[in-house]
Amino acid sequence: MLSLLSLLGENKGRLGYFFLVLSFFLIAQAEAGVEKAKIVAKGEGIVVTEVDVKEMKRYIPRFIVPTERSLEKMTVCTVVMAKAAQAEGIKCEQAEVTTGFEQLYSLSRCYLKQKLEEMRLKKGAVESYYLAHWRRFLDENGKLRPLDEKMRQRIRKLIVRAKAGRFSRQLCKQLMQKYRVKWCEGGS
Amino acid sequence: MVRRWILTLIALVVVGAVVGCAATPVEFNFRSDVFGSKNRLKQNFLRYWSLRAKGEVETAFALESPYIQEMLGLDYYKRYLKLYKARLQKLEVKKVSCPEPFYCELECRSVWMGKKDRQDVRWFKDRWVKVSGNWYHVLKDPLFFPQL
Repeated sequence: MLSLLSLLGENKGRLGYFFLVLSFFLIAQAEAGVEKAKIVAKGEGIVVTEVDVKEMKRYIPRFIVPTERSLEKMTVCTVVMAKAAQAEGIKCEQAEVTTGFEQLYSLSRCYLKQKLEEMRLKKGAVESYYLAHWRRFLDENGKLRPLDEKMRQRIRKLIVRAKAGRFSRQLCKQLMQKYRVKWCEGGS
Repeated sequence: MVRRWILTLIALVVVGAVVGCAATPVEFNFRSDVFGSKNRLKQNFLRYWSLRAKGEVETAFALESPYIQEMLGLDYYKRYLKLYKARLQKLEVKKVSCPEPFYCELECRSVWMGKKDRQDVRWFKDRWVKVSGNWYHVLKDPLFFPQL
């Protein structure tokens, strides 16, 4: 370090020139790095890059091997849902303690969770499940347990869970339209 | 001129065959008293299986229990029914048992017409549930829909 400083003192002009060239070189490298992160999809206030897609992989269980196309779709859905969560001011504790893509992921989960809770079911959905599966709801004496609020919530959860995947895909499609998300060249 | 006539004739034969196949009604067979006083159940049963045989999936879907409509969705239901390559030809109701006033099980014998006119006989239990005064079909297929 000392030798470097002494060198700087002796050859101030030459070294200054060297560092200037070096900084230009580093900036150019950094820009090239940014360019390398290919954009997968773009929308209003949304840019999804290959880096995001790579990040998304971390959230998928190891036993699931999605295709590149489905991974891109999942990433875009995560990003649009996170954006919608921010726009709607949805509270999300997990998102407050995270940053970057992890924060986007947390936001999207909170958004989906809230929308699933708010989801309205068809009239008679809970009741029909209860009546069609009446044998499951018998007590020790063989009497049918009443369809109280607790039971309703339990059945509702079962139905919502079964519907969650389809609902999430529909929601993503709507949000992609809302934010005018377009797939970029090479994307899905 | 002759060519036009031939083409018209071919078109008529093809349309006739398609319409003929699609419109072939199911032959229902059951004792007059098998449904007892459950006339509305009988009506919906006949309607449901006629619709299924005609391939009117959307209307048949409306007769599925509301929870099934919610859990499956029409698109998935359509894809599932497309798996049935054979055509329902006969449907016999052997027994109707209702362990609860809102739930009935129908023991059925069905005859399906497959490719190359191969007949296939299948026995199954058809379940129905009464919700808000209406009878709905309860689709059960543990292989495809274990969640139902």
